[in-house]
Amino acid sequence: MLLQQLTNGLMLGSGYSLVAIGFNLVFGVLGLLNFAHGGVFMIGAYVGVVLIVIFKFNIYLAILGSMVVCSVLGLVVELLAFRPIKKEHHLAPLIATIGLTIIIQEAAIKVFGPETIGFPKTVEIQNFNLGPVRISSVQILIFSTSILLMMGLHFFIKLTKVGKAIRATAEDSQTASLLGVSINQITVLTFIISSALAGAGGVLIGLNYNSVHPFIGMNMVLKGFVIILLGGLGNVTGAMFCGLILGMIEVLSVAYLSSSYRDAFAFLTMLLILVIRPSGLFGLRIHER
Amino acid sequence: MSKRCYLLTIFLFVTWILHASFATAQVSGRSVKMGAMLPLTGGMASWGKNQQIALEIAREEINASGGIGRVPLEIVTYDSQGDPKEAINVVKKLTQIEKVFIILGPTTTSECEVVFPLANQLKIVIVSPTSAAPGISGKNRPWPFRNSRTSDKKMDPAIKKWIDYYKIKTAVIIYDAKDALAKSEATLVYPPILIKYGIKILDNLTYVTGDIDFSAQITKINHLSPDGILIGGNPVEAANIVREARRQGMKQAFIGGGSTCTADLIRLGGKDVEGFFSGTHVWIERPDARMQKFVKNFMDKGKTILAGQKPDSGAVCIYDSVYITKEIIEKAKVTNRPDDLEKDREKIRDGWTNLTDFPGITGLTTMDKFGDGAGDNYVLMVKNGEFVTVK
Repeated sequence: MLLQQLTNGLMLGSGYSLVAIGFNLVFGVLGLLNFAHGGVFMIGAYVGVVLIVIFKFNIYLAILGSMVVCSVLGLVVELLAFRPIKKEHHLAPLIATIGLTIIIQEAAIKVFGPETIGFPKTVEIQNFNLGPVRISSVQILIFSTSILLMMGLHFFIKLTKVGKAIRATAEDSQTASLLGVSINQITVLTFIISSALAGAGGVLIGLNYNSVHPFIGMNMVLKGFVIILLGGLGNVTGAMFCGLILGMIEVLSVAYLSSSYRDAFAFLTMLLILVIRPSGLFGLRIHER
Repeated sequence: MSKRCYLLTIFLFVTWILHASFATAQVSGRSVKMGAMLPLTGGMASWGKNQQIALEIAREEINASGGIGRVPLEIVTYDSQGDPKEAINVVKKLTQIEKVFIILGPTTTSECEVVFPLANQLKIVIVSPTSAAPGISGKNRPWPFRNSRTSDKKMDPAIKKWIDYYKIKTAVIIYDAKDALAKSEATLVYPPILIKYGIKILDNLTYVTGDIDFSAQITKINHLSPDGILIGGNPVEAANIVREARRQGMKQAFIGGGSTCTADLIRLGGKDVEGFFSGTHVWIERPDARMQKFVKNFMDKGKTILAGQKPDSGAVCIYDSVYITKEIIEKAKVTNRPDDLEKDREKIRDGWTNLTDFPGITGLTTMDKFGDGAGDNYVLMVKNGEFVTVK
């Protein structure tokens, strides 16, 4: 049973990682905790359902479609909640994104209704037995998508010229702009990438858990916050691994302790990390801002 | 006086007497006000939305046929968010500011626990169409009522039929630790019934409202290998619990409390919930003309771009509650004059207290001495995507 529980945790965690990577990217590059990430995630899930139900897309096209729509939404978030806000006050953009999330949420309630909906059964889910452990095709898809996207992002940032520009902006945006990097373009690109990831995450997680409603973004974003603290602020690889770790902590605490404290364990872990190792498990130094 | 004058006076006098007697027998005022407290936002929002649609249908039907005692019905709705703290504010507003005759709601047992004593204090009838944890009304006589059935009444016959149908000897209970009704079902209602029928309870597991991942709990249950599993909680989580169980290869039978007996369970659970049992007093597919007319109106009115859904028990019972109150107002000659507010509210209280065999769309409804509904109950099972009765 332990093996199945560990697998459960890994699968749950890969879902969290997918959302946390994008969240962490924005924080690393722009120093912004983008709470609208949760709203984008939720819209991504709804877009997936709409594409499958109304336009009869298959799951892969639905993921792509959702990524496209969410990229546009990410652009809107940047234009509304980031660019016009004065950066003198650290927290102003953060609060603006919280406000935007609430607007997105209310809009979703108006358009889609507040009830929980599931993905239609036309999307085939197969189950596999790997030895004593049972996994579904969606879970494998989530896991591999997380890893692929993380690796893709990692190489993009490490090897391409644009990736270099992103790293430069993350390190010191003023100097980077003096050296010719267009900060606006990099900001927009960061938001677009992060929102596309959120969109993909929304479809996959919505499909796996068969629960899409206007409030799913809030919980995800809180977990995302825990993950980036665990993994080291701004560290994308760290976010990936710590997403998996968080998933396992949650599942194991439910399996062997008590489910009522599922979220409490997640946040307790966050508190412990903040006390014992504030730079996170994978962080190298604390960012000064 | 001249003869003409005399006749005129007699004529005016008779007219005045007729008018006066008319006025005392008829409901006066611009509108008859009923209050409603619904969870329009928050986790119970779909319950609130469904009840809102049902109230709108009732109001339109009643006003189309002349209103209550020929005065239009007005339903004042406030959002209690499913939150006991907000529920208190709403009850006060409806009673003291809107001055309604009756409050329909709240939906959750958690809210009832705090507003029922308040209703007694404020002396206003409050009727929950959904709360089902045993004992809540009994503790708070005489103003609160529940036009629902408490879990023990519904689940005893349901569990018995479930055990016989699936030949169950051992069971596991999984419930929502955050929800007052689920907790009451899992800890107070199910165990005595199971013990009565000789079933061994292997374990109690929990989750919390809003959980989407049940893999840990299901793996645990799979390990215990019970014959059957009882769920206490709302239909969204119940459907996903069954789904996860089927995904992990479990074939066991499931049964859930009355709150799982809704179209949501089937919509989210699909093929996985075939054979799911429940006990309820609201059978949507009941072949009754008025019920089916209501269901059709409801589905037409409630469409969003993705889901056009069937009513749940809250919608059906709140619809009945409006009609019950209408009949009480007319029969007890409620006057609707501002000075008579207290007396009118008492008349409504007495009407509900003595309610016997009212022909609602749920069937015959009676209020027992604890203020809880008594009447027909059904044991239902999901078959081919619908709830059907179990013989």
